[in-house]
Amino acid sequence: RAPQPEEATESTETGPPGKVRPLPSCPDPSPLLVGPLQVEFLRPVNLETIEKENPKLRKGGRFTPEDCTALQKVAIIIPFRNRDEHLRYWLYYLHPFLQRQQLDYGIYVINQDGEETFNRAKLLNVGFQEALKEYDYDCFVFSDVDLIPMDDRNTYRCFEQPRHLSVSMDKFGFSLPYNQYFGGVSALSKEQFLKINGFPNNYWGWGGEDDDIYNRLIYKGMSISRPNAIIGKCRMIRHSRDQKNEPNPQRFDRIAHTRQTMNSDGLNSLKYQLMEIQKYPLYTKITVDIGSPS
Amino acid sequence: MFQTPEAAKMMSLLPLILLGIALPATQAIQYRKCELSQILREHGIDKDIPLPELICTMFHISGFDTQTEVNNNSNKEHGIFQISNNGWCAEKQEDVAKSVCGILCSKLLDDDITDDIVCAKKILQLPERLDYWKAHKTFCRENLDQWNC
Repeated sequence: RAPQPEEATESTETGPPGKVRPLPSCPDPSPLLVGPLQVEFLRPVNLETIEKENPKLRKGGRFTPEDCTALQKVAIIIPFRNRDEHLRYWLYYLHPFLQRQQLDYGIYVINQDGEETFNRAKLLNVGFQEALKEYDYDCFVFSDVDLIPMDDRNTYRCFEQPRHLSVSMDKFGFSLPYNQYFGGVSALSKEQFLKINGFPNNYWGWGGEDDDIYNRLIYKGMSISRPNAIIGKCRMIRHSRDQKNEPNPQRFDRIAHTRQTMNSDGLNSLKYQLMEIQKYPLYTKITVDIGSPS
Repeated sequence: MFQTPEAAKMMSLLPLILLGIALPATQAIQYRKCELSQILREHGIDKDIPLPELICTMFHISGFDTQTEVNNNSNKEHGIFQISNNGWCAEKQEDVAKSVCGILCSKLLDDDITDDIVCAKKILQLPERLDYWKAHKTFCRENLDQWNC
């Protein structure tokens, strides 16, 4: 609810100097939502335009609502290597989207240094750890760089149970490819993430790490929460298969052993070397050496 | 020939129309679950194995994409059933006769999956049947209602 005139007077005239009355909680759902969005990837976008269109952002891609206290503090973690064009589209669509959802958020692009095989889940672990060094985020949204939501009622925040956000992708005919699918975009609270010892570090190459994460959640007694298939619609930016991210032939064997490996492979075994942290207007880019398959 | 302006316009577009018909044949097909189920049923592949388990397995190995090509250690797996060049199909013409399915691996990457199905049936004659594909054990022994059509 909006502050009453008497309260405003009290805080500005009789309160102690410098002390500000806390803002009321932002309403849930946000009154700024518009629902279905037009998403296309034909017209190129550039960073300067996006900056101009989003003047309320702070350095590093940070935003805090001015008129109310956000429901959650959300770090958006994006695993990345050599996808600048996709990142531009992502920022173009997601910054207005996230601001309409009135979240207190920051964007963290975790860039894998070097030419070794891509390791999505390990980069997400790094993102969790590095984002927490900056701010006491309570929620973490993990998003592939090429997935754009088509409805802003799909709130990029955390829920009672781990949340799967990309439920209805154009690539899969706007439906869930299989019930246990947890890939693309997901949201875990700090507690949920810690409860499963974070994500596996040993999935190199494409596939399987999202299924391992699903297994971790189930084994810890959690379940997957999802928006409906209309609200959960998203588009994937079409692209050819990345070099150095080939399908991982070990994935089926590894997924079969999550229960045995999750306690020793995860946040508690995470090792990496920070190469660079770059604060751009629209995002923070963290370049990291995550090593190679052991 | 054609008298009306509309017909004349159509004729001028003819080269473009012909190109549009010719080109799609060279693209891969990514089947949908029930489309593929129907084709497999027509080929009788579900006489000995449960169709939902097979469809589930195929999704996890190839995403129903006829062009899927995956390196698995020193072997290469081809097409919608991820058929391996370690004896099932041959990379080179001179080795075709030696392969169990008697086929060039590249033929398993085209739009026509009849030859893929014939080869998969041979694989399913192994004692391990669907467990030949690791994805089956991992994903496709329970929670199978979702793969029905």
